[in-house]
Amino acid sequence: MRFRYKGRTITLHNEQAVLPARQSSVRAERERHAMKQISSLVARLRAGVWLPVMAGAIYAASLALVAADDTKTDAAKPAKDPSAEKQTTKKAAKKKLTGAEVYALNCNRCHPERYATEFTPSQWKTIMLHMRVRANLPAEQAKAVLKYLQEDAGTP
Amino acid sequence: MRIHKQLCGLLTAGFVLGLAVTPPAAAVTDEEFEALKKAVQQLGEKVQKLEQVHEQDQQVHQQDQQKIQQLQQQLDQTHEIATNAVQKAEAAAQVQPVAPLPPGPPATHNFTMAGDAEVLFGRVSGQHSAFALADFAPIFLFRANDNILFEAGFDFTLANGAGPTPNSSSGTQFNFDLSFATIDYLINDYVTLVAGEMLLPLGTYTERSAGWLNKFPDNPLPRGLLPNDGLGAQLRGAVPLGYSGPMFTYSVYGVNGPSSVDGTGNSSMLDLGGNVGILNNSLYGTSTTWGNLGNLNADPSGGGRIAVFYPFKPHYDVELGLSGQSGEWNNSGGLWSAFVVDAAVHVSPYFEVKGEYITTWVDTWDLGTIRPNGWWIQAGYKLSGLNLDLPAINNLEFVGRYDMTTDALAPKSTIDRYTIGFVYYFSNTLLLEGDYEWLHGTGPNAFTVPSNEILVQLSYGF
Repeated sequence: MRFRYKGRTITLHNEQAVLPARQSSVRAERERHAMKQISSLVARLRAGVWLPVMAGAIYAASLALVAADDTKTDAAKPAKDPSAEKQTTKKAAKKKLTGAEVYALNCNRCHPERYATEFTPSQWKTIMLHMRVRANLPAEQAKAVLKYLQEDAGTP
Repeated sequence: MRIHKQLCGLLTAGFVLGLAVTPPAAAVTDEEFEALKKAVQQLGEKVQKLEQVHEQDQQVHQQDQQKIQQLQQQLDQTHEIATNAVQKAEAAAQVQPVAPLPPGPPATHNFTMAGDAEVLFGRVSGQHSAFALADFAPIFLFRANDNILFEAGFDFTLANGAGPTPNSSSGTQFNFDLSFATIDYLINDYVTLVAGEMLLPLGTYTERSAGWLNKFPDNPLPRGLLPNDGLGAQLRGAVPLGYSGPMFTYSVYGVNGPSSVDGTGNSSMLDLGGNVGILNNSLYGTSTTWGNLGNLNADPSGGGRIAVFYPFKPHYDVELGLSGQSGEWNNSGGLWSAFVVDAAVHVSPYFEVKGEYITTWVDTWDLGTIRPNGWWIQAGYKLSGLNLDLPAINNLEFVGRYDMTTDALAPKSTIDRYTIGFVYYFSNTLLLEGDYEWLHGTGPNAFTVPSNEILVQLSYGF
């Protein structure tokens, strides 16, 4: 009887492992190695160059997004004209999701609901950092959920 | 002293009074004598009482004096101790500067433990039933500050084994795995660096498959075609698309990747778990070569995932992701590559469907380029959606799954499986999962023997 559990095979009865013997001679291995060297070079270049380039591009794009956020924040500052200020506030309130809304949208997708009282405010801070990375949550949404959970968190 | 003076005063007054009132002997009547005698007796009694009180006061006074002396001694001792302490503190201050106490809570306040635990019972048709394993999988989280987190997931498993081995006693097998251990650095709102032993974002299953998250006790069959984790570094993050919840997520990583058990490119030597730079397998060498083989990959494998999540409203959403990985797996440049499509749909709080399509390419010496692949789909419906107002029914969820994969041991053959089951929620974190599975092998060289299985698992998330 065998189970696949978390990537492993778990056997309930005696089974003798069958270890395959080497099938190729040393010479054949060398010949194959030489034949593969050219294609291997392409793969090496691909892996060696592609990853740093991607990392650099992602970092540059994130800096652009952060700069854009800063610009938006400046633009969202209260205008001098009272009517314009009212409109800006109204618009922002309409768009921004609350922590409870973000929680309802995201958290139950992967796991049953966890109650705010289950952890202390400090523990929630640590757990939300973990969940922000694990679930790829946008920073602003993660902060909103953290605030929502900390409001009714358990006492230390 | 005051009482003593009063006593003398009374005696004097009595004496004077006696002299004053005493008439000549002949003039004193018997009645007057008796009255005088009585007055003298009363005075004598009063004097006696006052003497007793005086004695008592003296005793109290002596006791008070003793107490005062004791307190004085204690005060002297305290003063001496305080003087010594000041002297010692001054001496210590001369040796090293006094550092201020660190402000804030204890150092462990940022430490949190989460995780899960499971107990699995299994029965295969034609065989004896058994409690198959007990699993304890804690996750340790330590938040260094607002931007740095260390997280490590362990897996302690006690399972029925195949007999006594060097690391297990008869009938049981103990496994201890480090599932993941990473340092997460939140560079900014859009990029997080994850470095260490990582769960690989090939699809979503690996990152969301803890016992109390997965609604089935076992993994989908084609997940066996992919590595679960890898040692390397990753950049990941999310960009909100608008303000109502949609988002774009990404992960890009480099890991050591799969490797070859013996260094050859034979298909049976593929080791998806990869290595951490050193091959340490005593089965393929002499004692002098154990642990002496270097990393079999000249370069790390590269991979990543992109996905879009679109919520229409709470509990109504779609997620679609594409992921892949490619890199050398043996020391002759043979490539191992994978491509995964994953999707998840929620329609109401009660119904969900999700699945993955997985295909891989492996350059081998003996079989050329082979393409192990497979797919799985699963659905769940919570009966609380029926509004039956029955507590036991409301805690129940029915689940079903179909999964298939190519049979690694039989070319041009597949293994497929149908599963139906339930999840009973005792609470939000304690649940009982029960499944019935039909496993079949199909194709000209089908190796897998058809079997039916029952699996029951108690899971707890904490």
